[in-house]
Amino acid sequence: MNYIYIDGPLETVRALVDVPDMILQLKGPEDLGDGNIRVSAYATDEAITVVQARGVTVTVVFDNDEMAARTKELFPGDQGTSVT
Amino acid sequence: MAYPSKVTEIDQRLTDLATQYSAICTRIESDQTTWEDRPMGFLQIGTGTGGGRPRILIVAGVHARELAPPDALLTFVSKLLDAYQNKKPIVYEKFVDTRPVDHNTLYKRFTIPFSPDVQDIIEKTELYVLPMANPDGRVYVETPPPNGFLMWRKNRRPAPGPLSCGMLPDLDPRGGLVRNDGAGVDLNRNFDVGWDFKNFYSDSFLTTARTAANVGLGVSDDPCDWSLFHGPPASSAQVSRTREPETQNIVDIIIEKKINFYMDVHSAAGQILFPWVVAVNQETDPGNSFQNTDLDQPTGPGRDPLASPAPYQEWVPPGVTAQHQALGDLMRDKIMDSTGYTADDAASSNPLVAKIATEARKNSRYCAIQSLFSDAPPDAQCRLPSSPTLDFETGGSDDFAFSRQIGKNPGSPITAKALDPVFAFTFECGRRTDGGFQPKAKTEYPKIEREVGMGLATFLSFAAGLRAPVPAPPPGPSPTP
Repeated sequence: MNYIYIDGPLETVRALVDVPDMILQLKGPEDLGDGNIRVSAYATDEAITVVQARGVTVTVVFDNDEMAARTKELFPGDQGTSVT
Repeated sequence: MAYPSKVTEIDQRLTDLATQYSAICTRIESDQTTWEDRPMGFLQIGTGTGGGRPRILIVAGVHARELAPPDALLTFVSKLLDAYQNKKPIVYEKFVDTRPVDHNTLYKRFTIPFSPDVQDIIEKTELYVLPMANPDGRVYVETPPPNGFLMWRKNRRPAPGPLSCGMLPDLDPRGGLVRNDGAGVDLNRNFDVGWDFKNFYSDSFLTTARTAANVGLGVSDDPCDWSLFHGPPASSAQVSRTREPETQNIVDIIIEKKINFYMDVHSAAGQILFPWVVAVNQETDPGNSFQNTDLDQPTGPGRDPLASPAPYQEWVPPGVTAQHQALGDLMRDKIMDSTGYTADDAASSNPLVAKIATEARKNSRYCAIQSLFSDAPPDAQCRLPSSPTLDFETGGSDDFAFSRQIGKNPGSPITAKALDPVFAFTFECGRRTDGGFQPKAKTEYPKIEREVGMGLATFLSFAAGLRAPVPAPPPGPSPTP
């Protein structure tokens, strides 16, 4: 999972709510002043591919490794295992 | 106490504070424990009750995955109690932001004076603090997969029967997938204003809101919705609806203590939000109110906030929206000033000073706006676009607290009427540049903690200066048409 910024036209960005495997944070968008807004999201690699195909710009702020390290720092302890 | 505190640590801290500052701080147990039988303690702070004191409730931790608010709130409360006991100011130490690539940004030390602020807050208000409003959800966040989920938002109400909801998204970096067990209710959709949204709104609005480009409807009646489920309907014909125990505990404080200043601390949109979120505010037609059940479906037409040419708009007593805007703007300005940089610094002829001051103030800018417009991008002066996007939600906690100032005139047609004023806000602390829902302890969280401290101190000092009943809004039109 990745923590990302998404830059694009407001209507294009808002339409991303239907992308699965992503938490899109529309509250508190930033006006970039060039006709685009910036929002943030938590997204899988697959979701990022889908989002990019919609023509918006994605910046990966924290990739999966960084998110894992961050989470381990916040919640040190056992790591989980997959559901079978 | 190291951030992020675990649920058990927050609970213990309440006990410790009540012990250490017993003359001015009492721990109270909420009537209901959670679905997983956890207590929901809260603090009562002040030198007394009654006597026309403003009655304030500050809540945090409603959304489980938002890590910063409970700790930031309790840090402020600890500082407040310590400052009063020792007759000294509240101090927030400097924070050096090392994240910019080409320079460090110093957020300067700031203080909140003992007199009048600390003293007035303790001696002139009746303050209640509930820092962990969703302990079950937070424990689920603390627990790694497959028995927990980092991105969980709701409480942990058991699923209303066998459900096949599939898997949660692969969004927990601790590894492993987690079943969506259909459990949980979004507590911030579970309060009583518009809760039954499919009858509150009209069918035509609900259809349009799901498809229109600049409109959102952030609530769901599907238990498999792992973010926005508003809760199940009434459990029996004898009750009109079923509130979650966590919701009920907050409602009990609001009603029993007659709360007239309410703050719900969330993260991480960097905003100060005020009601309504169910529709655009208006001050002229008290017949257009949540109180007017004649408008509810199925017997009534339902409300259509997008109808043309006469959209449904929600009544607010005259002057109240402006009062909220003014207090929200004051909080915004105080938080920006707490960086230690003024607007003049941002215009300095020294390019580095100007750059750092501009950056610090921008990174600590919390626009105060009506919740309905929380998805709209404000400009640098926090002005909204001329046709802002509309993010409709129902069942919000701040809308409920706010609604307590709106009564119902007897007779028909049904119209609302103004009662004693209530100030209600949601404080979305932190922002996307501060680590989102999971700010790091040393490099991101301290900035948020400072901002929460200054925001809450401003809110409380304002309340302390307004001995209840707060000034009535200017007279409006007759409530009876």
